[in-house]
Amino acid sequence: MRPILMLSLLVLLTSSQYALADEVPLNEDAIERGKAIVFARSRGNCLACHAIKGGDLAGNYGPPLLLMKARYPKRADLRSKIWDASVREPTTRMPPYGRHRILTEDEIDLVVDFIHTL
Amino acid sequence: MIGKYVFLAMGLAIVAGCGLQPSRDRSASPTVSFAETYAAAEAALAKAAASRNVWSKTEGLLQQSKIANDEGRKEDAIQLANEARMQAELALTQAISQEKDWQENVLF
Amino acid sequence: MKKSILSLCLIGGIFSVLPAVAGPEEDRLAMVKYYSDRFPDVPMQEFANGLYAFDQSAREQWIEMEDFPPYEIAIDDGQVLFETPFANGKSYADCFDNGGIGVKQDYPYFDADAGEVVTLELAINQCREANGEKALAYMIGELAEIAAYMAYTSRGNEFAIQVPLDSPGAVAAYSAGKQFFYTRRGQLNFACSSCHIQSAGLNLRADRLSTTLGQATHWPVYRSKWGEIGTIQKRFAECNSQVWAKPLEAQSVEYRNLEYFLSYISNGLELNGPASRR
Repeated sequence: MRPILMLSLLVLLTSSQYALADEVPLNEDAIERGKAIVFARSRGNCLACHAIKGGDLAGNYGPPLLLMKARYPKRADLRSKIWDASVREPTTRMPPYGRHRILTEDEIDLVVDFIHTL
Repeated sequence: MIGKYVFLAMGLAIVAGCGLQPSRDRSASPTVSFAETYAAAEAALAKAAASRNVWSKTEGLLQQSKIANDEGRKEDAIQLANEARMQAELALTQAISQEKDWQENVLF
Repeated sequence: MKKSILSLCLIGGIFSVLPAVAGPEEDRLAMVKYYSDRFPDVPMQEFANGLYAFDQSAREQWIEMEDFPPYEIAIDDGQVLFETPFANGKSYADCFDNGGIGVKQDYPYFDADAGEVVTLELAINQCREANGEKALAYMIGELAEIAAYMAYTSRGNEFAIQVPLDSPGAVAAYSAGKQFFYTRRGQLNFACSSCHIQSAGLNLRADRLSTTLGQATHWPVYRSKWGEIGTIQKRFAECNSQVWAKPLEAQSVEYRNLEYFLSYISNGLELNGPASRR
């Protein structure tokens, strides 16, 4: 079990560097598309739990999505939180958007693009 | 030994990175038959059902897969069946791990 | 604080020695304490009113709705159905203690002979079948109406669910219900407890999440969203759908065990069904 865990951590680390290296300048289009996924009830439905600037009828189940760049200086950390928050916090209530294939990998990228602007 | 892990990890990272590209469809190869893919999905779904934990969209994906195949959209059909299979496998994994891990959710 | 850490350690210690479960009564008392601490201003019986116990604006709308309760027709129709004899001349009253009046506080119970949990709805259908009638569909319709009438005659009675500790079957059914309650399900990966314990009182969109304590007291419910009266197991199915899990069958073993657990947790609260919810 432990080598697998180590391995996945390594993968996360290296892939984050990879992502950083790969990062292209954000474009408005990606941010808008990410926002649409975040707000859509049948996709991210993030407003169900989080207050988000520009969204109505937000829940307070989770914390407001504010100062995201300060809270997650590394884009990859934010991405991994959305992908599967239980890696760091086993009792999290945040759905594992990536691990459970709730969103596609591309959609998660767009969501991260948008959330990182908040 | 450690070097081997790093090498492997880097390899995986590259694979994961490639996964970020639109096409991570491992069924794209034309040699994979719809029948096999669909049967594998059905088998995985049956296991999830036996664990009493089927996700709500999985059966719909299988139906869409069948329709896609009937309409001659073979790539779509295979992709949908694969998605259904992966969902069913994840649901089974969830059911098995929760048999033990449910106690983590008991806070008092 | 120190005390609670100590008791946590103690509980942890007990769990590590006896991995099975704490007893039902310990569970119930822990639940009562948790919600009393979390909602110090809510009187105990108010938990039977779900989110209206702590959401003032929703409460006002609810009280207004109770002027002309949307479940009233179901009670009337249910009474007619309840009192109409079967083809063999017998009736529901012959199947239940006290003629079926004021008995809901005892349901569900564990039937040791059959080795299973019997909910009020299951008992209604067992009564029908024993008298040569067809079982009714669970969740909505005539069965929910009959249950509404029976709940109405039980209003004010304290929930008195029994999990006899000398009955291994009963304890196992209760424990299975408890495990189900804490088990993550569905693509969204929520357990019942994720929302109704960890997040009770918080908002999902505009809706505040109810407490587990009191969740079983007021069924069946006329839910505005449904536009009809339905049983608690219809709500289970809806909750499962909301976490993207395919609902189990109404009156499946799992749902009956869950209802057994939830009902036990509400022991001591007064029954207040049928009720209206938005």
